[in-house]
Amino acid sequence: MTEAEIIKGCQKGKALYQKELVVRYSPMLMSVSRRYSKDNEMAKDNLQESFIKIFRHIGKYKPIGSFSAWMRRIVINTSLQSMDKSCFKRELSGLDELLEQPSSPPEAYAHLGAEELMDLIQQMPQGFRQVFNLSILEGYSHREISEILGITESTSRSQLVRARNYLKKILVKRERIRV
Amino acid sequence: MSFEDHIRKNLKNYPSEVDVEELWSQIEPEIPNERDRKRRIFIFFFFFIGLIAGITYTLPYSTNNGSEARLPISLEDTKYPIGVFDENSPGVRYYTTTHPNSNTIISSASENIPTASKAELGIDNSRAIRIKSNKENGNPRKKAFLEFKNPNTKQLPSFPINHELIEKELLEEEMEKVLISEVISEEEKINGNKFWLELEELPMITALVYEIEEKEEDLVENKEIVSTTKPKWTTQVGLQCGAGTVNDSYFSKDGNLIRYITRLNDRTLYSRSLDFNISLFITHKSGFFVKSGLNIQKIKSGINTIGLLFPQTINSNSTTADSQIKNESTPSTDRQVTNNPAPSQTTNTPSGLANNQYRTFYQTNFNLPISLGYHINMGKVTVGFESGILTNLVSNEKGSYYFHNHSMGDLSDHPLSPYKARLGMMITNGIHLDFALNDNLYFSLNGNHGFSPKPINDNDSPYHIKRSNYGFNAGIKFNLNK
Repeated sequence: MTEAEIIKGCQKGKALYQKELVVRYSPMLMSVSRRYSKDNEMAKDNLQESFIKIFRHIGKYKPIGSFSAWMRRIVINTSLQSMDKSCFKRELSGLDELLEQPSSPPEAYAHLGAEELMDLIQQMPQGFRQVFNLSILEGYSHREISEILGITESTSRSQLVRARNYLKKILVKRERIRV
Repeated sequence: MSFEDHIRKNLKNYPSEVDVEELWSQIEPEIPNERDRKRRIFIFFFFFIGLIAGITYTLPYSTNNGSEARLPISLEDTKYPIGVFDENSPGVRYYTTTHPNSNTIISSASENIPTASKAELGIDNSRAIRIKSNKENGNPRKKAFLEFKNPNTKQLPSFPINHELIEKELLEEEMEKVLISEVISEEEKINGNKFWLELEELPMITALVYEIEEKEEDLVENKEIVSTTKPKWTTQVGLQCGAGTVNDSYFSKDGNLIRYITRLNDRTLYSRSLDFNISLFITHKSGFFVKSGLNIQKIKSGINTIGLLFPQTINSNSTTADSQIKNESTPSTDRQVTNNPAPSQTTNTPSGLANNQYRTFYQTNFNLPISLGYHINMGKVTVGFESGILTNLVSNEKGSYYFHNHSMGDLSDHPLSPYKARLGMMITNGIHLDFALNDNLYFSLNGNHGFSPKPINDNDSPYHIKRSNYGFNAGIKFNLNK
């Protein structure tokens, strides 16, 4: 079953193709959802809501760009909608102690696998996590992030710096524990 | 490899474990399926059929449609009330304007009126009574019509007839009443409560007009009949559909129109609407009318741009809008969402924004118009001018965008989408032309313009959007007056 056939079948509301779409794309989309969620339960909820949106809007999908990118974007938007916008202010004030001493990333990260990295990202405070994902993994500029999240560009920049420092700090801690 | 590259490499396309069956069982009840789709089509189909049936049923019976049919009556055997032979004027005889199949008037008013067969009356087969009917058998809504022309000379009767009135009402159910009233006023041949017409002057009435179940009093109360030939109020229903264009202008908060100068290699832009209208017209005989109804407007817009976009304000002294555009998330023409940081500019060059994007946009408006207007009747054509207000319930914008950096998404999920569901108001003006197809049915053309005096977007936006639209509709209009 090709991607084009699945899209066409879903546009006609055929259950066979709808299920095939879920089977084929849910692992990839689950990863996206997990990266934007604090835990796997929340990621599941967001993924479920995203699929409902995908099926409701697939009639309007036009084959410009990749279908996966279109679905990823819906998952990202759904995840972002469920977040609390005030987190950016809260996180700026409460984590200064943790972020005061930027240290070099320990070389130990090389042994970290995908699941461990996913855990690291999920542990990050919400505001850091969203900016970090949009910037590092999705490749958005700060202007685009500011539009997507409804924050200023400077907030986006500072959130990213703090997110990086936060990750480094966590890595240092883990390394110490490991040793 | 840096830490971030390490994360990117490991997580970019990393598949997570999902219990697909559980996920599917939760999604399936929530999503539209083929059966729902078919059901919607089915419901729409029956709604459409019901609408057509309703229109057909409510359309008043018209005298000029349907096929002519002979009633199953034997003309040869029918005895016609022939009135009285005037002994002083041999050859002159009087004929009653009652239907030959009805004896009510004759029997109630004149006991001794002689009757005659068709042959005795001089009605030959070529001038047989013709009766129109939708159904030949047993339908009580039988109608006949008058032929006032002399079958021999093909000339109109010698007495004066108000042709204007006849022409106007020729296809109306009231026709026979008007004509009879005319005859009465000219000939003054009223005998009791019966009308007598001279055959010599009103050559032969080859058929008579009225509905059989109609009360006889309607025929004789000529004064009332004349006074009701034109109703004081007429009610019409119009069904129309059409297309239009929608134009949104962006204003900075200080009121200056933001204009965008584009330096584009290629640019296509469209913004159009599909309109469906059901309208109710209540028209006074003076020509003034009130119009209301429901208008459903589906707006579709799209843009495909490649190049740079330069915002400017109309007011050269004002830099508010420019600076706002530089600092805020910038609106661009026709519902675009700008996306890229501006390239560095010299002081002589306005900020440019990379603007390679494709975007579609959908919105549905439910409009309730109330207008006042005036009809000018020019025979078969009626021109109407109207002006009023329109209350509109607007949906969220829906659609998708696709930017130069290959990001795409659903507009309904975009946090900065300026078009949100709301209740708004527009001022409308219009002109329509109605062409009479018969006495109750019109082909109607309508041109309209509307504009929003207030912004149609959120107050929180860094700019205001004001909308204007132009539309052209065509459809039918029919009278509800019986």
